[in-house]
Amino acid sequence: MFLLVDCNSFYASCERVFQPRLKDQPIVVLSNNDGCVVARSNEAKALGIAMGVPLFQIKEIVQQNKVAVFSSNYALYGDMSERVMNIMQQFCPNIEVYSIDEAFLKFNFYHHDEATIFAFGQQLRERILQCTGIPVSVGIGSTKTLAKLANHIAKKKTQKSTLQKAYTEGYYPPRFCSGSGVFSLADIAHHESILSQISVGDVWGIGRQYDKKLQSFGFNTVWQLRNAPEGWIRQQMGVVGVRLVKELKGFPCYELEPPETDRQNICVSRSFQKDVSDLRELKEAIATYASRMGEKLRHFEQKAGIITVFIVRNRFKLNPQENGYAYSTQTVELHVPSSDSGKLISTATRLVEQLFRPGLSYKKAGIMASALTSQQALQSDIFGEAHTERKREILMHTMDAINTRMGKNTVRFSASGSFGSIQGSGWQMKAAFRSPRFTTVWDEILRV
Amino acid sequence: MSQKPFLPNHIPPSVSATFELPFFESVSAGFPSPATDYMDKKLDLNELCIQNPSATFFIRVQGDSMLNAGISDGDILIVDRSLTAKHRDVVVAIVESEFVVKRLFKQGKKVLLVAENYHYPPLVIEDDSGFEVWGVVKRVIHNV
Repeated sequence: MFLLVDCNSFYASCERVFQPRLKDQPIVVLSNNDGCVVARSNEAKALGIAMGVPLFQIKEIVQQNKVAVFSSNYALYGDMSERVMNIMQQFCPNIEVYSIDEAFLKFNFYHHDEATIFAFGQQLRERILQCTGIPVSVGIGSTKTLAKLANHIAKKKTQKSTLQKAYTEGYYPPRFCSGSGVFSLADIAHHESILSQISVGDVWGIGRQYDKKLQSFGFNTVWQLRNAPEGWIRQQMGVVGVRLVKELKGFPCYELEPPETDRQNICVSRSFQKDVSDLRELKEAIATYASRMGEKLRHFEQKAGIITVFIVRNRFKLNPQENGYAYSTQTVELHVPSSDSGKLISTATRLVEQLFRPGLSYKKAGIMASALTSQQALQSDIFGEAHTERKREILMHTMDAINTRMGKNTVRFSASGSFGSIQGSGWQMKAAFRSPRFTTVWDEILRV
Repeated sequence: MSQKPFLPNHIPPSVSATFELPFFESVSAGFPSPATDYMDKKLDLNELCIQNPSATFFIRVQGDSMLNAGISDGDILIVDRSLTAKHRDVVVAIVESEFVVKRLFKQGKKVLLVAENYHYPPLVIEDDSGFEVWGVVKRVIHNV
């Protein structure tokens, strides 16, 4: 059985844990650089604030409705996310952290009766709420797609009335009616009555395009899609569509993905606050990302064999005459796999020098590490770099220790910019409305 | 069906913010150190003070309303949210959207939040709507 646990309005909920006055207040959280809305509380959604709108466009709504506006506080969200994921892991070790605020759990129930499964979902939800203050919704089903769909139903308050039929049949525990935040599609016998009331667009993986297409062929409800002939689905939606329909029928096609430590690559990239057209600034930015990449690699005890750097030009400023791409990239293989920030920085800045074209403005840059090997499996090379590498490891370890203790970027490589230039640079993040980092910086903890 | 069949009674600390210091395992003289066999891991304050890291938060105290409970201005509270507050626990609570640190007294349905300083009168909670226990104070970090 799969459970999808999804935090409700996660960023807004994190802010609320430490600021109770925000309880019923609409909240929006802004993207990097305070550009546009990336998260909304239900109250903010009800005001009609759309995802992705720039702040200046909703200024009036914000003022009239006392909407609380926050810059992204990634230190706080990351820490709260880790707490939520750890609690889930205590309930069930088979976990796939799907994003910062959702995870799939795979659980073998001895008793497949709905009441037991439902009670498990509720206990998980109550435990997370008590320990962290973050409300979650739990969807349960025999496949990931069904669990995701069940989660969607658990979250949507509006659908309570449309699903009234299922409750009045006396099947679902009455607690669901009062918004328990848990919904189960574990019992296939009840799928027809439930799935025939949900539109196809609500299925995970069905985008606006497919939604339109399916509707035009008369597939309006999930139940109709589930019973569509396989040949037709294959023809219209390919193998992904076939899998999706199988999953809706209760046959698992997707398993839990391995955790990030087993992943094939690690990436650090950011959009700039304003366009960057100066090589020095671009190098500072990429050096900072390379340094962050080093921290990540060392955290997961991995070394990178291949480094890729990419820079992205502002699409709107592309000259149609020049047939240049918006996206340029350069890759290099390291002699010896490394997680040394110094080495990553020198490699990355060299690559960015090769990519940079004077007179062009860039809006984003990033670095990706691939061909990852575990820290231990380090082979020697003829230039004896492996020995130096070991010495550098001690330096990196010390740097990480200082930065963990004294705060991020206490000790850093000078390539990532001096204090003077850091303020004015275009690539540095703007965060004018950030709340205190309540859980990661001693000077900013809650005061009572 | 039993009430809470899945809840682990004790949740082991899974996150611990420590970094290891190297041991000097060997001495270059002819003798091996007689202490080598008795080497133990370093004492870890997290282990002593924190039972459930995922539910533990730090809060800095402002004011002297809990002075007689050994909580002074500027102290840091170690607050565990995983615990259910009992009668006489020191708690961090929310009253009318404001945080307070007080001792909790429960008598039937009546709830009292009592300061540990006679300058401050107790808060009587008549209406549950604006009241919530945020977490239970387990320990205090105090500069001597």
